[in-house]
Amino acid sequence: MDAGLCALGAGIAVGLGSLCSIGEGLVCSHAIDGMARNPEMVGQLRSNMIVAVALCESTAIYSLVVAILIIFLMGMPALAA
Amino acid sequence: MSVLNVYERTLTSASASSFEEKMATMFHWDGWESIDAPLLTSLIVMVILAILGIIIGVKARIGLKKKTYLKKPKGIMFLAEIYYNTCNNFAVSNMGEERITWGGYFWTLLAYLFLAFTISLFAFPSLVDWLACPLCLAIIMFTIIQVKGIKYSKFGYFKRFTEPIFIFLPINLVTFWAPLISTTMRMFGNALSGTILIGLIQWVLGNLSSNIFVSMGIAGTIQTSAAWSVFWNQPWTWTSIFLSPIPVGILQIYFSLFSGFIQTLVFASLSAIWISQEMPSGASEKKEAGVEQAMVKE
Repeated sequence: MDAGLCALGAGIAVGLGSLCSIGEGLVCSHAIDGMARNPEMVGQLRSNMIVAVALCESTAIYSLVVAILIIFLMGMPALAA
Repeated sequence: MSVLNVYERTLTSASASSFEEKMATMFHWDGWESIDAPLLTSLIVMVILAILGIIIGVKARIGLKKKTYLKKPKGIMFLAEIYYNTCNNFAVSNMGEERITWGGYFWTLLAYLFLAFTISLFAFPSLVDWLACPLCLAIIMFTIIQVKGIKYSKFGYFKRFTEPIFIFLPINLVTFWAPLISTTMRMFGNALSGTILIGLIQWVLGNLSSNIFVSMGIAGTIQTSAAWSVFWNQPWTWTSIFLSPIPVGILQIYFSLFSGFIQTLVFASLSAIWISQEMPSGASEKKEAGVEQAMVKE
């Protein structure tokens, strides 16, 4: 297997995974809308927002794990060979 | 998120033996060097938590005997009471009023996980980016979910695999493992991304620093011992350590404290939600049914 193709695959995986930032932006914007409408709920909304953002982020992290697997399991042997 | 860790692991993965050889040497004691460093970190975390627990328990018993528990708590007892109440409130707000005894699970989980994330700030080898740690925590959570599911919904537990119709069985068997894999990968990937980012920045800043010194005419002696060649088996000199400490320290604090706190919270709330899904709120339902029956009788 070509090491360059492995690098390309890892890059594509991380690049597509970073699309989850759109979802994070939606979560944050709606949470801030809610905070502006309902200022006495700020604390609860903020903690919920952080949890929801971390949940959205997990899809990006999956793609990162896949990229790392590609690099270390396929790319490194290809480089060594 | 120690960088040394990554370096050592790349070395070992390059010269990894086959599965049969590993199985043959599994029960053979090779001395302390053969133990994975994160395993020792995990044991240290557990020892710290056990000592804290023993101190708090002894103090609580002394307070109970001397009747000083009615007074305002001080020092470590104050913190322990705050933590106890926080965990119980977490269980109540996520799982319902009658699940207050589940605070004990969150007591252990939150303490272990947060300490596992932050222990790398004290120069211990990083623990959470060692796949066994998040995997074991996820397996504990997964087992609790399935046991509670069987206990509360009896045969309905097996019926859910064929819903809505029987053809969905393979899909349901795949989604069955989703909680396990997603929680493991979430924590592992988060910690690993921190490790890799810190490693990359240390590498770049080290090269930049040594290049600045080279342009001034100072080359420095090349160190090739394991402690110096920090990343990717690269020879380092003493000139390369001048730029990295502050950015790397800030990143360490971000990935250990902030990211670790958020991941701890996410893991705890997800497990609370999944476990409480399996346990229908029996007490309140019975009460409502009783009220309805009473109304019917009237």
